[in-house]
Amino acid sequence: MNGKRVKVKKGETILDIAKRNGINIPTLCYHPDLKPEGKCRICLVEVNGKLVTSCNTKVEEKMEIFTNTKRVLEARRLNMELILSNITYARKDFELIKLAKELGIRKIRFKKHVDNSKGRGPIEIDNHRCILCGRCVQVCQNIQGINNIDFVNRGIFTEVTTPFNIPIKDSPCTFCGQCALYCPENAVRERAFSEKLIKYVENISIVKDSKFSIVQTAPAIRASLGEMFGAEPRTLVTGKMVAALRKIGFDKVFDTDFGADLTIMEEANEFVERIKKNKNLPLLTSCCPSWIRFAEETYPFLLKNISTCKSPQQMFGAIAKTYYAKKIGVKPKDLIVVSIMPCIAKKFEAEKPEMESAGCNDVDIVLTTREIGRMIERKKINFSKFGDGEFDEPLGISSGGGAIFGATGGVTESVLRVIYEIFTDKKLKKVNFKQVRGFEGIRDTEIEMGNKNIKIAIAHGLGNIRKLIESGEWKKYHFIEMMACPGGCIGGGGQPRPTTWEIRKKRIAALYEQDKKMKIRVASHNPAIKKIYKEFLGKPLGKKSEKLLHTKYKKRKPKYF
Amino acid sequence: MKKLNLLILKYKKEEFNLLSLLEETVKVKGFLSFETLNYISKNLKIPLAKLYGMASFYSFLPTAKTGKYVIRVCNSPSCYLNGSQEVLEILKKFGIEVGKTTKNRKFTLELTSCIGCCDSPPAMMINNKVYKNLDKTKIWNIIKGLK
Amino acid sequence: MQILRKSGWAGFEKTLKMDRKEVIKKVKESGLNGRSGCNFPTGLKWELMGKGVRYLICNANEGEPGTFKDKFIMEKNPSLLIEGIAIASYAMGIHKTFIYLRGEYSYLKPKLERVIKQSEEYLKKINLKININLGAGSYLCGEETAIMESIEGKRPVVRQKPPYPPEVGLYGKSTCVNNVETLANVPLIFLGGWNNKLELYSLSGDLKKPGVHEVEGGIKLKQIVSLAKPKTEPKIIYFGASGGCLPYKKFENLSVGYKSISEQGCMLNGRGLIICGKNREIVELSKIFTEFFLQENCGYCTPCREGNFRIWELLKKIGCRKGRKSDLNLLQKLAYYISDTSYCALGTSSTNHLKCALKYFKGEFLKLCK
Repeated sequence: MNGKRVKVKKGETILDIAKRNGINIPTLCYHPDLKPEGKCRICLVEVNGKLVTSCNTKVEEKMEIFTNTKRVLEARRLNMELILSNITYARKDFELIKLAKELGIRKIRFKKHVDNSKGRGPIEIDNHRCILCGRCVQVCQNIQGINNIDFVNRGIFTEVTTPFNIPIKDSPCTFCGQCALYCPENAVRERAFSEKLIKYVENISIVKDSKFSIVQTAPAIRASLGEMFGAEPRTLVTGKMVAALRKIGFDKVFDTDFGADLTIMEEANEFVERIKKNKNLPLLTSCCPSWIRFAEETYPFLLKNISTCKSPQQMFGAIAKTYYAKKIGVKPKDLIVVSIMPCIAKKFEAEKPEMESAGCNDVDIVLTTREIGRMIERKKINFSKFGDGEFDEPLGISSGGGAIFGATGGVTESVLRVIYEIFTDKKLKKVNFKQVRGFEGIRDTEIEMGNKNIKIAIAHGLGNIRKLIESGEWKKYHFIEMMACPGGCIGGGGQPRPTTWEIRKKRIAALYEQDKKMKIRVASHNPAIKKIYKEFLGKPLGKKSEKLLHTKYKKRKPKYF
Repeated sequence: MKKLNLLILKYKKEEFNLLSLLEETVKVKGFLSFETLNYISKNLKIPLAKLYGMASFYSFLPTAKTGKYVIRVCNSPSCYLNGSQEVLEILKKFGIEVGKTTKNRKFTLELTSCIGCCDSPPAMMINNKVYKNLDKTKIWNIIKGLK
Repeated sequence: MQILRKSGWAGFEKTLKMDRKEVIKKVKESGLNGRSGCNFPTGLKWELMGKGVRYLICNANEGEPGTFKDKFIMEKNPSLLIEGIAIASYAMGIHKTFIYLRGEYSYLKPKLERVIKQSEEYLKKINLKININLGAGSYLCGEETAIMESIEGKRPVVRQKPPYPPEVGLYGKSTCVNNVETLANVPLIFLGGWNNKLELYSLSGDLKKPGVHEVEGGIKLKQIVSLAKPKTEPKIIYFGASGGCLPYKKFENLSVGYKSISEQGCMLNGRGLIICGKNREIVELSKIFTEFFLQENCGYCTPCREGNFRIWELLKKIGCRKGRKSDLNLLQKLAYYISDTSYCALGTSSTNHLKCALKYFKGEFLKLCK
């Protein structure tokens, strides 16, 4: 390679060994989590006098590889130019533009010709920007197994879309948003909730009206938001994030972890109840709106097993619009609840008609990690130099159990912490349930609690969920955690790009570290939670919490199917 | 619907493959509508997106409503050298234009790549029938004959 | 014509008396090469087949503009083709064969089906089933792996090679793909008196008598062209859409063969010659050929999808006398790198015609540029 002898293992691609040897080959459609397809023709190298794509060419003996000849560079540059010629200019932080800079492209000699964009539903596909790299199609078909989008037509008319161009909101899409996460170019993206609302949030400090705005941040955000400002994936930016949000102008900055703690309390008690009655087992978690939509559409027979608890975001919203609004004396309508989520499906969840507990939507605006990151950037807030801020009380106090909600297995672990004390009446000494941590798509374990053996399964990624359900294996467990995105919310559809398995693992590690540092590790020990039950809700599964914190599911059919 | 069921049954018996199934469906239904494809997708458990992606690739599998007769004029080099443009002009006089369906839903005109009639150009296909060595009178007769 | 000889299943009967390996050996010795364009030795292809369930695909998706020899065989002598398929299947131990017939030739399907039915007694002897699969209008489906994708019911996008079809082919099984003309020649090998050099050439364009001609390989270009009686003096010869082109005057004494044409930077794809008369404009012609690739490329990889569109744009610009010299440079660069970096054979050969045109007729392009 480049004149040097290199040792290789069998089955490695040229790109693999180049990376190992510190040689940089630019790539575009290649993504470490997906099967290399060689579509973009950017990662070209010269092998024995021929140009090949390094991402999907396996190394063989006696290959002479050159990665930097004039021919290679010129071919890369021309292909890049062809790709760029056809898209609307994007912001500089996307993979594509970075790559263009790296390749030294200054001028595009062609004009663009594609002229159609489709904006419908929480996810939109913008053909102005699509470069047909096919990552989204692979994710949707192979990893998530939803098969909602594919390539359509041929030649210059090729595009990625739903069958017959039906609006995404009417298709079987679950809004997991993995397609958007993998897109190198923001062509598949979350819909900006509504331009007006975004403007409202952005100018929140300027608009002086009777409205009172609060913001909640999901557990997975703090481990990933830093990446948008150049931080290493493992850094937690909780303090900086709070400070930045305050600078944007929110009146109070709260934590969804609080909502998560509430969810744990309700869900744990529901689980204990079901175990006692031996009814509707296994209990399936309900925190993931994408999974809920998937179940409502595809597996209606599972609906009675799904926990009736709302997701942390919605619990928080309900509490904010009732308990908190009353406490500070603001009308529910005038209290604007903004939530910042790693997720696109949460946008859909917040708009559901059943999520109203005070006459208006519990959560008014949902923004993804990417959206808030961009907003911070647009407002020219110097994120990396910020000091640390603290969450406001009372809805900002949380336990370690809520913090790990963002990782796969996190919900299970925090529920286990709570039910251990209910089942055994002893104080929990070993807080860490390491058995449920890990990265395999479907994993199961058995845990002894008092005189009971609880069988637990954890599935993440819709493809794995489908596997678990269709094999019939799900019936033998007591408790199953379902997360639509690989890695849990930490790899959610609204997270910063790029997201690979390596980065997911680092983010998860960061969350567990945060949990370790927390003083309160178990949700039921959280003083704010204790207080709210005493002052307002009564007891878990009580009348009031039943009304505010639980919901019902119904069979849903996509409009066209 | 009955015919469609019959075709699906035949497919299940492996008498023909997916592509032939879609072709036969086009023969029965005229084009592949959303309902038709969705019905096939439900019955065969093939994702609709894949089915649509495949159907839209081929030029002989229309996914939108076409006229009763689909005219495909060859515009590949050999026919081009021998006057395929004139064929299009003559058709235009009947009000049949490239890429469009006539108002009475009788004709749809498309351009197609080589149909293997380079030895008798210019040529066109109407539905599955090939017409070669076209000239003015021939086209007149053909179109009149279809009315 | 040799290819129109009636064998009447005599060749097949002969092979049945031989051992399978012997059959393959004999085909190898005969020197029969693939007649679709890549000139791969047929016997060797058969020898490379794997074990277990195997398939044979007869490639009748003859989409190359200016090529119609396969149609000629299937129209005039279909039983020879079926016999060839039977011999090939016997030699490789295959029990299921697919004929991938292009949708444009659907009118040939009943005819072929009739022949298959008539020869049932022979096919039964080796327990062979022949399926006719209709294509639906796609040039790309002439590529061997794209046929497989198409038969399997997917978007016909070319597979990455390796693995090659003999290792992993149709439905993941070992598969052999042969062209119609190749298979039709197989029975003749066993009949005796077969001349390997006789090949079919499809001639079309500005001619008085276009059609298929059987010609002994290696004769001069001049002789082939004169068979079809050109209307005016020929100026350019195109070897199909993907094969490139040559100026007639300069090369009229070139002996036509796979090797000699390749040496000139062209390809003898499918042996289809499109002859353009002296009044034809090279820029106009290049645009027509590019339009063909615009219609037929699959959209999978960047250079072929976007690049060919850009070429078309530039040619249009130059054709309207609005082009500049810098546009011509860009055109040349595009032509070179599209063929260098595309994913499949369609892409890499899609600019052959333009590369040749720019090589031999640059003056005409320059004349139109500012």
